[in-house]
Amino acid sequence: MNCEDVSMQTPLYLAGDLDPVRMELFSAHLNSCPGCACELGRQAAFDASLRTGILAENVDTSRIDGYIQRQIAPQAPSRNPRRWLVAATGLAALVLASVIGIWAFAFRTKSVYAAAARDHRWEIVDGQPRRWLTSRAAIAALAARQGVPDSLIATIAPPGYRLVEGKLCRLDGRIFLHLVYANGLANFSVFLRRPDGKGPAGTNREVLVATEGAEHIAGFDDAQLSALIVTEQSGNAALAIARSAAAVL
Amino acid sequence: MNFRQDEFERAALCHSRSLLRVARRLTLGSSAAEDLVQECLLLAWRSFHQFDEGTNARAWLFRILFNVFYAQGRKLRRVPEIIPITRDLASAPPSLDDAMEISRALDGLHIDHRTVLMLGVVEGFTCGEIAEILGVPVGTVMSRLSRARASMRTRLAAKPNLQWAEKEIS
Repeated sequence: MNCEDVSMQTPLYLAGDLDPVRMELFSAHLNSCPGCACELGRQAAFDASLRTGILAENVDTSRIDGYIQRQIAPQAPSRNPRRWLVAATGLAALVLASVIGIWAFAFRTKSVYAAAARDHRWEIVDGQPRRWLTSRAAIAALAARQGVPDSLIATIAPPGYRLVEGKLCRLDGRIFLHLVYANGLANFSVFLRRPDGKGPAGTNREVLVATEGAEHIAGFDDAQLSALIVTEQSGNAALAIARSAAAVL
Repeated sequence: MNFRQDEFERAALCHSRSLLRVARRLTLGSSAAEDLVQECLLLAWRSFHQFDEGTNARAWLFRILFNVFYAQGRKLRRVPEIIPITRDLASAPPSLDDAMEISRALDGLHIDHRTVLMLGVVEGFTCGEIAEILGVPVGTVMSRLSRARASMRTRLAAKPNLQWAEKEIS
């Protein structure tokens, strides 16, 4: 190692970065070269003076330390009342919307059930004159236009009953296919329509039963079909026919 | 105080003085330096989960300090302010005037030279550690250190009233 090497590696020497082999070579050169040894001594003295001089500066970190400690301290749960107000308002709005939705659906269901019962009473029980289709083929064609499968028309009737007549009617503003089945002793009405998306989504085969005057109504409303059965026989009879129709679907 | 906070204070917050000393030389301003150190420590806190216990926390913190400084495009540098030097460090051999001369001379250096002197001579990092902190080769650190020392010695040698410089260097 010569003087130039020592000069180049002095920063490493002063920083304690030299590996053992180079350190030995470095030291050997210093022992044999008074010039480099003197220069290194000056460098070391300069470093010591610089270090001491800079370290004499007043360095106050209390503000920084305090700030960081506040920032990293675990945050207590917020007690901001506005958050509760927003949450409560949102919850109240959700509950209100649900109540309105349920009420609207129930109201509309009840309204349709009542309209079906009145229609059955006026047209079937009281026999008010209407234009009925009695041809099986004509009824099937009418049903097809309403999107009601003919297979349903054929299978919906309980044993002993047959399709007598059919036509379109309006219940609570919506068009239904009105079919009448009879067995010679009793009859019942079936109101069918394809859903318009305003009823409950999915397959909801829950059969609802209601009574309107002397009429018993049973029905279901799902994504495929809305069906109402009206009869004066009994609620159980209406329920059985509705369940039968639901099973056919 | 939870365990993570305690760990951070033990591993990182204890180096705030060193960080502030170097930050002052980077920004040449007290308030800008404090902002820089605060940003550095907050960033360190956010990424403390990535820090491997047992590794060099100081080097890690200084790497963050320089990353923040460079990311800010050195905007934090301001017009030089007077950094207070007090006599409360009675053990400091240089006189108050000497310390101020050293400080002025250091602040007059190029920022790269200031940086390596602060990290290598004052803070005691090795050339390898400085290279890693600054993201430059070790050879660059060595040459910067040599030039910085030479420049400082030239500046201080020109101060006839600087007792220790006359005695030790010239």
